Amino acid sequence: MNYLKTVKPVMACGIFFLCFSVFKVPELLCQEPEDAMTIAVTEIKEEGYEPPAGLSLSDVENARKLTNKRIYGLAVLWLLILLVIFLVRIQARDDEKLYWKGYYSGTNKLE
Amino acid sequence: MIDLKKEINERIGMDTILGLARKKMVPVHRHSVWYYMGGMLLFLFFIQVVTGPLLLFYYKPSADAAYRSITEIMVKIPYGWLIRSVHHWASNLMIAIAFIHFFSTFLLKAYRRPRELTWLTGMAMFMVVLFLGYSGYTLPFDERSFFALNVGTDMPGTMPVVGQYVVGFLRGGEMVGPQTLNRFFALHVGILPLCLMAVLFVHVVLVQVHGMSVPLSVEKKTALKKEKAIAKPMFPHLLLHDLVNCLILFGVLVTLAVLIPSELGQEIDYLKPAPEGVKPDWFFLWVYQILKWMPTYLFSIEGEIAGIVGLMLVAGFITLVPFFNRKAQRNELSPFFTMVGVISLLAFLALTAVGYFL
Amino acid sequence: MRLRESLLSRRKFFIGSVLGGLSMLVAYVLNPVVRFLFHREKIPLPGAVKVAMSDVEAIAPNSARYFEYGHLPGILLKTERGELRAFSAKCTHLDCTVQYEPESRKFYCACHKGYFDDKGVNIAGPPPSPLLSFGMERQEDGMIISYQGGRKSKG
Repeated sequence: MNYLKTVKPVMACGIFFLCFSVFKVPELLCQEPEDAMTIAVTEIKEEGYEPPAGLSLSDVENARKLTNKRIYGLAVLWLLILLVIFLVRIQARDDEKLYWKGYYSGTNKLE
Repeated sequence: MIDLKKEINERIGMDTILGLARKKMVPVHRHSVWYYMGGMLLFLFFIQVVTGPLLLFYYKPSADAAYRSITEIMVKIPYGWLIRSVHHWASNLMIAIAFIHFFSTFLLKAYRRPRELTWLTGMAMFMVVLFLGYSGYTLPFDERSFFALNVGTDMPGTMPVVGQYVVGFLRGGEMVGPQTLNRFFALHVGILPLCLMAVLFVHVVLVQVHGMSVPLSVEKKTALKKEKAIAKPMFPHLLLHDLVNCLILFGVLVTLAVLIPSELGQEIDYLKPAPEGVKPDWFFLWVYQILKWMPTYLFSIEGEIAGIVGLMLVAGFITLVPFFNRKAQRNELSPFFTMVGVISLLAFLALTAVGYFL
Repeated sequence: MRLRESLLSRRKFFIGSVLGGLSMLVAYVLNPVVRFLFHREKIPLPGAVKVAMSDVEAIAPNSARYFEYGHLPGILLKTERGELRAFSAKCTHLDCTVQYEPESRKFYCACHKGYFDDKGVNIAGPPPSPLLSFGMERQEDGMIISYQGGRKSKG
């Protein structure tokens, strides 16, 4: 029954916190709101103020349209991807060469 | 000066990890190309895990706000259209590659001893990914989402015994309504990704434990010629190859997202009739087509029930295929299961095409 | 003196260029993500708000009422002598909403026990500056409260 030695304090802590929470909660909930703390106001719009127009489906269609900027962005992305692939290929080829010579790439140590 | 490499190594044992990685060899043969699918799926999962929470910054998961928040993501938020479209296309590519991964594993019998558990976890993930794809479609809560929700949550109702409970669970009521959206939201962003991640972890660990499976035909050939099988180290050779794959995949993904950004339909109107030609997503078209062709009554069973039960039996058979395919378990060729695989693949492609074009 | 061979090994050069290229790509991809994340909603504050005179008269002396100034909480104080003062109810310490204590005639912030007097001046606790006071203008049918006419009240 050795494990009780460790279980007991844990249980005691649990029960303690349980009691604590039970006694604590009603105290917090008992605060009643004071009556009528707010006052109603009406907003005065500035001159030339227009409420923002709601977005419609045609706006979405516009946002989906292909623009020159997007094509340009895509081109740059592919350029970068191809560059990285090119660099990776160089390294991969070097790895391959070293590997068949009996070297483990990255460490230059004999296997 | 501090030797950072040494300090880190001392704390997390980088050398041990690198040593393990160094030992990992990947067999090289004419079917090696299928080994890359898993890495690509992992990469796409990563993309989803990044873009999903990004969308959550602006998406509002409630019936009256969801549609408007998607409109705002598409129009107002900088690059919102791109992030949403990448998320959308990554899910489609993920499902497509999952199909390829599934069929290649099935046809090469990579599920045979001792990899049965890897296969089972893979099938579980496949189902979760399909459900993730479906639940994602419902979140904009536009017209398409509405009909997808109605049809999709109606179908499990034909399952014997548990059907009605499943429908109730998915809908959160008798009918598809505002409450259904929140359920699908919870599933899509919370429960399903967590399940996927947990199973994925097991799957990946199992793959590391067993190493890559070599197809029987290749094994036989090398045994015949009495030569040593060619293998390359996973790290860095194959990893660099994976990197190149993922870079190209990423380029394709973003290109699709820019050229064909994801759409948004009309706002939900509960009184509007279903629009002409409303169809499920492409990955469920084969199911849709089978159900469409089912006669009203098949051997005095209601057609729909027969269809659903039939599909469930097929799914069960495929999931448990490592235990049915005795020959593969004994490391013998099993042409019957290859035929089953080829026929299912052709049927899947044909049904999808028919569903798409007709 | 000229070295016979490069100090940079071939491998280091390759790895460096791969990592360099990759980080360029990552930076390029992160740009839209960062722009997406750092979008700020612009919700303008109203130019002014109006409180009906009847409502103002209903406030008991030495008490205060909250009002909505757009999404900003405001607090309208009627002193014992009937003088009207309007402040932003946001504590200048860490933006909690303050409350009026009629007994001590002070504004009190419960978050970190900050005190402001009935003119909005910070007098005790952590608040670093006075409450922002709103501009007031009496019209026939009500009080106009405006943020633009406001200023930091002086001690």
